[in-house]
Amino acid sequence: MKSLVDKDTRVIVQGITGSEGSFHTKLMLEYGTKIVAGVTPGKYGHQVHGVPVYDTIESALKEHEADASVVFVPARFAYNAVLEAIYNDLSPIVVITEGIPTWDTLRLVRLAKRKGIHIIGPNCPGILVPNETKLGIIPGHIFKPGDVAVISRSGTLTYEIVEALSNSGLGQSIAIGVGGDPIRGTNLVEALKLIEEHPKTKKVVLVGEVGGVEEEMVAELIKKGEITKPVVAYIAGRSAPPGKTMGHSGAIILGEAGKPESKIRAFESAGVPVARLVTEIPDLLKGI
Amino acid sequence: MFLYEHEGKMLFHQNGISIPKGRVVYSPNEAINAAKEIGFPVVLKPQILGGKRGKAGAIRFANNEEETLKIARELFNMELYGEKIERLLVEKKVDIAHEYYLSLTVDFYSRKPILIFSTEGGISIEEVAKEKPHLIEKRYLDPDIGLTPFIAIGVLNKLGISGESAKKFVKIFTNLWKLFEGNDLFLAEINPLVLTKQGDVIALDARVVVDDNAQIRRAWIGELKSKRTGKESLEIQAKKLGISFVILEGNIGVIGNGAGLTMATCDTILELGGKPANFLDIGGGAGPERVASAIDLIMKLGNIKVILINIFGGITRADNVAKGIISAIQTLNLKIPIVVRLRGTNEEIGREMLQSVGINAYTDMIEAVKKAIEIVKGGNEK
Repeated sequence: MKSLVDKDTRVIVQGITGSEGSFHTKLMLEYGTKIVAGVTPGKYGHQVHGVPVYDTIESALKEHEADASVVFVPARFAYNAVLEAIYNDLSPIVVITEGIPTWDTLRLVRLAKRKGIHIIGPNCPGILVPNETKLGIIPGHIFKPGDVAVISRSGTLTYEIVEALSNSGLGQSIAIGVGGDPIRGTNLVEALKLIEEHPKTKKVVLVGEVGGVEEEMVAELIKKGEITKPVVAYIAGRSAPPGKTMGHSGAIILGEAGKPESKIRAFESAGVPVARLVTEIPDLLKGI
Repeated sequence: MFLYEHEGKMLFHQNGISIPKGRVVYSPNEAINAAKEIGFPVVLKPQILGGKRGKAGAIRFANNEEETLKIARELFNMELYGEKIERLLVEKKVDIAHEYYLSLTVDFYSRKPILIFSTEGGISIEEVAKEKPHLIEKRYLDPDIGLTPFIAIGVLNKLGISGESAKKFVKIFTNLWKLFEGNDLFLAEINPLVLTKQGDVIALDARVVVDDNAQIRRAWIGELKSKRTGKESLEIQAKKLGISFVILEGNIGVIGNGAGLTMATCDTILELGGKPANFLDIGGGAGPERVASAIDLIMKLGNIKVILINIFGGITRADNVAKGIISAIQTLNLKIPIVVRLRGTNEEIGREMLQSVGINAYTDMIEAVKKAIEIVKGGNEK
């Protein structure tokens, strides 16, 4: 596959003049991300850490070539921002914003899929390819290049796991934080399919959590032999009571769906080792 | 957010779905007045957010004032599925000819709404699916088309309801769709939907779940939240401070940053033999004030033996966390031991600050969890 992102990916930051947008633009630039322009309506002519700012993506694209977008726009305005990125054919569109109404995400993802555009998120930490690029807020210094992909519904838990891998001498090929909302542009199944085609990845750590049925669907895919790269799983939220949202709005048990035990059982029956503690992940990876 | 039955029914009523005449009451005396106003016989239904009330024998009928008073007193003294009963819905009893099931759900996996209809209502749809799957009709809907009359009639025909009979239901289907799509709902379930002996179609129950994220454009969600009481009000109060808070049942107070890491912290406590008292995510980039309010919230739970704080800072700065912990210890005059695990941005500064108040922060999460459990089991070492 053409890698989702790499060191040559040219990026537009939407919401670049906000405090989060500007702070993480700086960190992305330091990591080596090729940020060509920023967009905030009404801020044409400004600069953020040397990056020129435009009112619209269209006007930015007149001056720069760009492939992808990272969205830091507040929830209230995020629907339009993502729509604008889809309209201008940017891909992937990495949506960091938390709190976008789920029905909006549902409509955005449908539009994006029709055009073959990848949305990552919303409510996600983004994508990082060690020593090449990062689109989002994942801290770069904990990574070491290698062949383990980390796919996760969580941010900080991903950092915890990546650090544990690095400390055990297991480098990473890519980290994708798919996000914590109930509906996301790329779910765990779709992310794993992308990774299956990713030449630099040999093994996968899949970090799921309470809520939804994606983990069960992943297990099904592995059983059918459609995913051949070995996977180690971790499921967060075994302490979650039914009906309560555990921080992520997608982390909720509704009726029978979403229970962590069902996810763990599904993985185990597909022969996927499930770590009970984060610290067990490196050893389980070495064993597969 | 889950809605109470009476809140869901209010939405139904506002969107042209018939419900029985009824009133919410907060005391046995109010129940009598409501029953008199509505007219006997009445049904008294405890308003709780989870569980099966019918199976627990908590849905009761009354034919006169005496019975109403007796039953209301009993119900107000009950606890159902861990919830104290604080309000009852008193409703006119309906003459049921047949019970159906109707729901609209957002299917997160397919990213599509699903319509489910069954001619077998009044019991859980999972049971019907197991025993009489041929009596259920399930359709994925295209959100751009919605639930139109022709789709509704198609579904009804499939289950043998046609002609004049089908027409009676169509309005309920399309009105439920309008409510569902126009209010950012995750679930709108009517079970049972009844055909009365008089030939009316009425929603006897309402299970509604709304997307919390939609509060930015739906003022009514915030209004309902502000009326919540008990445990839930603490959780809602936390949300206003930017804190995600869920009360659990143990004695180890938990604070983390990021939902996943905080869940993993609670899980690790369970895994190693302890019991988390709560889930509390201080969110990204929390300043000292938010950390101090987090500790304050947890102390309101009572029965806390130790507080475990697990931070892997990216946007969140470790020195801000340390500042918050110190200020909470001082202003709340905290006597409870605090175990801290600190990693990430400005870790060294945070660590030194904590040392000045006698807290040695851990770098390893598992060690910190073990220490917290040891304190609960062993004694009160700081």
